[in-house]
Amino acid sequence: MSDWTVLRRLLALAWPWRGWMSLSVLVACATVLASVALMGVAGWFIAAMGIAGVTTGMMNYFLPSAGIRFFAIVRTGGRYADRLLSHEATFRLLAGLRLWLFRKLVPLSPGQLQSRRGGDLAGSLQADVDTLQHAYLRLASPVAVALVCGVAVVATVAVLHPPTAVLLAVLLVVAGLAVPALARRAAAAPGADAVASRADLRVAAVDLLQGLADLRAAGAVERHLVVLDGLGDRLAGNQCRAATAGVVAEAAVGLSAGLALWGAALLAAASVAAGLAPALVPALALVALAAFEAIAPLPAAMERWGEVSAAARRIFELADQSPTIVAGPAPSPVPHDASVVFSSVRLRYAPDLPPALDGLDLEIADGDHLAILGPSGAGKSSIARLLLRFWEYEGEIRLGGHDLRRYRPDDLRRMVGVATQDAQLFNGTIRDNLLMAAPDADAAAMDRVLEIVQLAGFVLDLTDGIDTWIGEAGARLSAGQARRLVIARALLRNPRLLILDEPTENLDAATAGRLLASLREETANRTVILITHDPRAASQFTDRIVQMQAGRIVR
Amino acid sequence: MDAPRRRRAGAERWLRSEIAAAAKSGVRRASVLGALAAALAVPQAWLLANAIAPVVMQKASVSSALPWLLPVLPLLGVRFVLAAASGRSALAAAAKVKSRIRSMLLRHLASLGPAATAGRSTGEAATVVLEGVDALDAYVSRYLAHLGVLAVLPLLVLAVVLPRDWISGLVLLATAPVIPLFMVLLGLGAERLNRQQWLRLMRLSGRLLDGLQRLTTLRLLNAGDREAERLAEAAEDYRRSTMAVLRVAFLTTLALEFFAVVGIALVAVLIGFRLLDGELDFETAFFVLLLAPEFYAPLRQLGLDYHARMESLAAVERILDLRATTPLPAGTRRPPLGTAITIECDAVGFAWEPDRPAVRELSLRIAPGEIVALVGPSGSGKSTLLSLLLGFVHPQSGRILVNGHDLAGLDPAHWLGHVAVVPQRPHMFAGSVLDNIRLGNPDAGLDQVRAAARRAAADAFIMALPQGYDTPLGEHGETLSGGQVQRVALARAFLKEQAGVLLLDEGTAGLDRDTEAAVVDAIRRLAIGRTTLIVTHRLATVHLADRVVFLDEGGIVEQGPRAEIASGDGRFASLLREAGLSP
Repeated sequence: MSDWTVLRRLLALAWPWRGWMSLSVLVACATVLASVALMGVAGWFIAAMGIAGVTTGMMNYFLPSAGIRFFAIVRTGGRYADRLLSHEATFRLLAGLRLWLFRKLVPLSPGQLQSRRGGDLAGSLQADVDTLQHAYLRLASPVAVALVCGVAVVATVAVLHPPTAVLLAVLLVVAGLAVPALARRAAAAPGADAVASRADLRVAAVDLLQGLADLRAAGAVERHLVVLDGLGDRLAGNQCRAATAGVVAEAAVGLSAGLALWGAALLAAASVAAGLAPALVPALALVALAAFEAIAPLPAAMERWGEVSAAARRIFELADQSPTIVAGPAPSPVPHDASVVFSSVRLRYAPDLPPALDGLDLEIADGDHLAILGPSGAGKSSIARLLLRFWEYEGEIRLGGHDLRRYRPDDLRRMVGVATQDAQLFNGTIRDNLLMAAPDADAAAMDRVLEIVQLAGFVLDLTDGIDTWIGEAGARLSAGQARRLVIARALLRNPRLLILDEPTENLDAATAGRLLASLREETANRTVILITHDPRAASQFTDRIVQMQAGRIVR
Repeated sequence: MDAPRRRRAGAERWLRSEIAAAAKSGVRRASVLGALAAALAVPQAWLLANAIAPVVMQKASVSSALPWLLPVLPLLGVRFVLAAASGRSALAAAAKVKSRIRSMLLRHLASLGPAATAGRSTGEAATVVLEGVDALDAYVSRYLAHLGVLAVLPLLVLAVVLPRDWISGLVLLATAPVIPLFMVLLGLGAERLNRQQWLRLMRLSGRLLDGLQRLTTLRLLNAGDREAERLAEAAEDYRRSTMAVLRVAFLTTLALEFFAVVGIALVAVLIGFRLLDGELDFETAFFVLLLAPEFYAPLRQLGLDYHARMESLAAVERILDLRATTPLPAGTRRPPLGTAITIECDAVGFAWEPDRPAVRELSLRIAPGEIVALVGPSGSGKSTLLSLLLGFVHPQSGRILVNGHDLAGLDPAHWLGHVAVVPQRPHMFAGSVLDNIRLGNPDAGLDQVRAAARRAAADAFIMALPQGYDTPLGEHGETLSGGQVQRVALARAFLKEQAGVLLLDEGTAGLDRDTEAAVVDAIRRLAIGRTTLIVTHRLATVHLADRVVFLDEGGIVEQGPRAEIASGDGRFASLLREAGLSP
């Protein structure tokens, strides 16, 4: 994706808020132009008054002094309005951007979301969105203001004195384009290195904190700290080199402003003999100097472009993926029952990985309970993922007598309930987490599912009962309790086909036994697939047990 | 002064002292160079005023202006060089400060020990170490570096303007004190903003993060649309509340701007009228008009830097919070302990929280070479006892003796030098499998490491990894299964041949039968000849033990040779029966 494409798409994203944004740019321009005009009028005013003082002694000073007051007021009020409007625009953009991204990501399959960036997708997305939401305030707005004000000032000066206009235009372009571009180039290598060393430092710091016991036991704490010091120095050094380019650019803009002041004074002075009004000399000099206020933020803004475009690229790349599994136009067929048939089903998560399912044949009749046993990596959990249509597969799966592919994914997820191993709880109360699954569930239904998963007593003992806050990702629950709450959530949706993935992990034998017994009773009329590596759990739940290994049923 | 402001003042004092220690000369150089660059604005204005005055007033030719104009060019050059050099020194100083504080912070965290870091979110601490320390940059490279200009330029401008044109001087003098007053207001506004809105923004961000992390679950529950609506509502709430605060907070900006602009306008108008009356010459007038914006520029800059300063100080507060936890006093004695080590717990008591003892009055003696299995329900104090034996925490009552020496008085590194440890959840570091195994002695060769891995039943699966022993592990590397991680940790322990003690926490990782057998076998080999304590839930491991100790609610409920207590009618026996594993 070229820089231009990224820019075009960013603008397209921001399009709905164009009203707010152009209003804010307009006000910002008025503010900058008022301050340029203030200096220009003031320069002209004192020169004209001085000349009048030594010649006629007469001068209509009402208009210019009113002008000075007017520009001072516009400048002051404009600054305030500008800050309010630009923040308003940013917040509106922020809300829209998040929502747009979220809606884009929801229909993607987990596999597409995992792509390349490993586990920290959410974290890095978060950082990217944060970067983008500041793009308007710190990048788009300064560039627009510089462009509008630069052109306006140069055009006005051109009417008064063309040579000064040419000089000013050249210096503005140098300071506003060439200097930031050079600074960007100088900062590119250390900037990239800083990003890399920051990532290394973060990993090493987390290693220190999480692995402190291991490091202590190995007597390796000091060694690890020395490595961290080295990484920290490298990061700080690179940040310093990258920022130095910006500081030099800032000084270069200052130098250009000084040169504009100097050059305008020289050129205007030289034109006095040719008939230029002498009072314009200080006016032009001061206008040339003040014009640089418009481009002063450009080096910092351009420095940001690299960061912004990289973040935008990553986000677009992810959001551009079309969902691999989309609902067809036709409505879902009506299932005859909750039977499931797998025929020669193959599944491969990535071309370079061994197949997760390798010709799976499996039949589960309506209302049957089946336990699938096998070591980790045998492909047990893949069965649930396919039934939810999270992944595409080869071969045929029939659910309720129809091809699985004919169901719309939403309808499928209404029919199939899964308590997965990696299911997550939300930062909220126990009630919130249950309602997340079934917004219409009443208190009695919630109590009942908690009873089934053997959590009723626990919830009753809590001071706030079902309204107890369970913390970030359910951190305040034990692993076993969290697992059972996930099962309760699945039950609450009243699915016709229920898949339980390792429900007894992290439970003591007695609780596991009680859980399985009550689940068995509760789901007597439903089709249930129990996935486990524990033969005891399997036999406590059902007599129908199959053994899986390397992606197929072996027994 | 209220508590938060006192806290902030303390944070600033601490930061200043750190800066003084790390980069005093660099900051001073940046200030001086910056002030010099700014001060040169005065001769520049003088030269320009003198160049232009005859042209304006007498229509003199440009050649008469040239002698005044030409020296401005080198002056501009010098100002550029000085400004760039000032910025450079400031950034270099900031880099030194960041390195120093980061290093100190990491050392502090390391000294707190695993027991203290365990309770804390590592992500949060890592954020303070990375982003928190980075946020200090602006304090040094912007705020402090610009203070030099603030101290010099306004005074210098006043000093040259007052004698030439006392009326303009008075205007400047009168509007200037108002500005610092508003700076204080601005500071208060910014502070409030920082506190409340920052928190809200974090929550809003957290909301998106929450949704993104749980996207699969949301889909599973068909709840994506509901969550999107909630996200939109939260963002809208945030916008409304923040704008309400900003409308007030930005009023201080308005005031700051007002006085600076009004000051310049007033100077210009007053000068104009005195020029008309012939009371002032144009040279002086233009000179003053050129300097008036310079007078206010550093004050405006301070307004811009104020926010950066507040953010830096907020970061300092988070850093100081981390530093507030003090490390355990560590012993210093290093007596020779040999390889035959007796461990004695003498009425040991320990509570993580007051009134909730994790271990109480626990007495236990483990003879050299004896293998003890520690069993009991979760929360019975097994892991706490292990932490105590490792010296990560000290007993609050009673004591632990190793070969008769009080453990609390021993140098922790010296004691751990004698202990092979396999923690419940061993950590895999970023680096190769090889480096992860030889964590304790990086000089060990591949042969030595492979031998250790073979004894830990790890060699086979390591060789099957994509790059064998060079396969990267950790954050961005290969993810190993629980059983594999445990075997890498066992290999680490095997490599520590001279250790006379083995402390092992088996955890509850689900292992399949073959793996379990291999691990138990490895533990058997590792325990030979060592004073061994194994925390375990597995019957297979209990079989290795000479003695079983059953712990509940922080105390020993029963103990004895395995066969004896397994067949009795005590807690251990009933546990076995409940698990369907009658002996």
